[in-house]
Amino acid sequence: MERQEYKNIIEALLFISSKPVRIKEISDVIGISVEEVRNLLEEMETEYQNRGLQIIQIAGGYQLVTKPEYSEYLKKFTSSPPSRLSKAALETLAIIAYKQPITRPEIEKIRGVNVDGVINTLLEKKLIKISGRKDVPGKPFLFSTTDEFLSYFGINSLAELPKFSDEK
Amino acid sequence: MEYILNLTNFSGTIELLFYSVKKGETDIYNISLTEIVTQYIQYIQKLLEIDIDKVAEFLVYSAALIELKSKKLLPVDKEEKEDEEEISEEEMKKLLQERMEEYRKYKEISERFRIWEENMKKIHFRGVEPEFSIEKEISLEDVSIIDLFIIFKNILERSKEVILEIFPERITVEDRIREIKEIVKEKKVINFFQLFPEEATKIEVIVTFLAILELIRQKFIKIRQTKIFGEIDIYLNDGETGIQKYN
Repeated sequence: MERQEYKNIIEALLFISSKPVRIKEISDVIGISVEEVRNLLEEMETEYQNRGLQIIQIAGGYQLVTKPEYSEYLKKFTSSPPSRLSKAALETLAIIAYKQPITRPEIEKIRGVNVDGVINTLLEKKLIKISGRKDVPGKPFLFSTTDEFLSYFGINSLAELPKFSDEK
Repeated sequence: MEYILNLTNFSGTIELLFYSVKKGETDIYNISLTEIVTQYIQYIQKLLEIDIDKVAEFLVYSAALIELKSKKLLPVDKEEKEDEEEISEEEMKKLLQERMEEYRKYKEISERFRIWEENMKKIHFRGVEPEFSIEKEISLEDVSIIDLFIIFKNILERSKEVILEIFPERITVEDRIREIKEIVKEKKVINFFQLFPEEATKIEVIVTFLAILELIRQKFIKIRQTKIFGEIDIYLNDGETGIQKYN
């Protein structure tokens, strides 16, 4: 099969998927090596320069999404206005992202306020998940971030989180 | 928009004041907390749009200031001081500072998250067609707290005419205890699940369960399960009685 044909298949796969597709998945479907898929994807990323779509690396996979410069037109087309997370939710999410797995009391110690409601919102939005229980009295739930968290902020892995500005 | 305090001995945001007091640059004895609160209330009353985050932040800082001042004003209990000697005032200050520092780090990161979020809102993903789109999210961005207040008031007025009826409890634990006693007396042995007919309501299930627990406590019945998740049998306890008068 020709290179172009592989690319066409990959494009079609990315087109139908509503979540990031992992390189391994593509390699399994087409039956070519992971390295080859990676090469093809890199080529495709540049080939999309003159299109309304782009291929991005997100949450450990690849996804076909729109380019940000056309969002004002797309917003007119889609009905619901995008919602934003509250300040409290973002702060809590930041703490969980860096300290995961972490219990609710541990988060509250840092934020200094009750985070019940915020935790529920984040669970509902699937940005965090219960990843176990801590082996201390009361066996509190441990919370961790999800792949949806990575997708929501457009990052590929937790390693991409910024370092603290004043690391001592 | 940050509210700037204009006090006799200090001018600036409440956040600045707090850290200045913490660092010992400003003596809290010279700061009138009443003045702060009075000014802020006057300011808030003039506002039409209230930024909840900002107001909350102000509350937190003013509460912290009140705590600081009250601690300084109160005579230190000798015994308490002895107990607390393990943590000196210096260490306590350091501990607090560290905690503040840590929170600050995450606050900064969360601001970065906000930028990322904003950027991602410009990128549209292939949507998953929802089968039911009932749970549409409502954006409250353009709704002020005053709007919400008016809407809430209207709803309250509208619902004034609704008459609620409270139904009496149809089955009580006492009733159910009597019933189960009768059944067990007659049959000697009964399967646990037979006491929970399929058509039983939630309340009936709860009441039955409580009744069984009570009868076990009274040693009127015994319960046996031969294997985990197996059938549970309820027996009449014909050994020692110890039964309390219940009915």
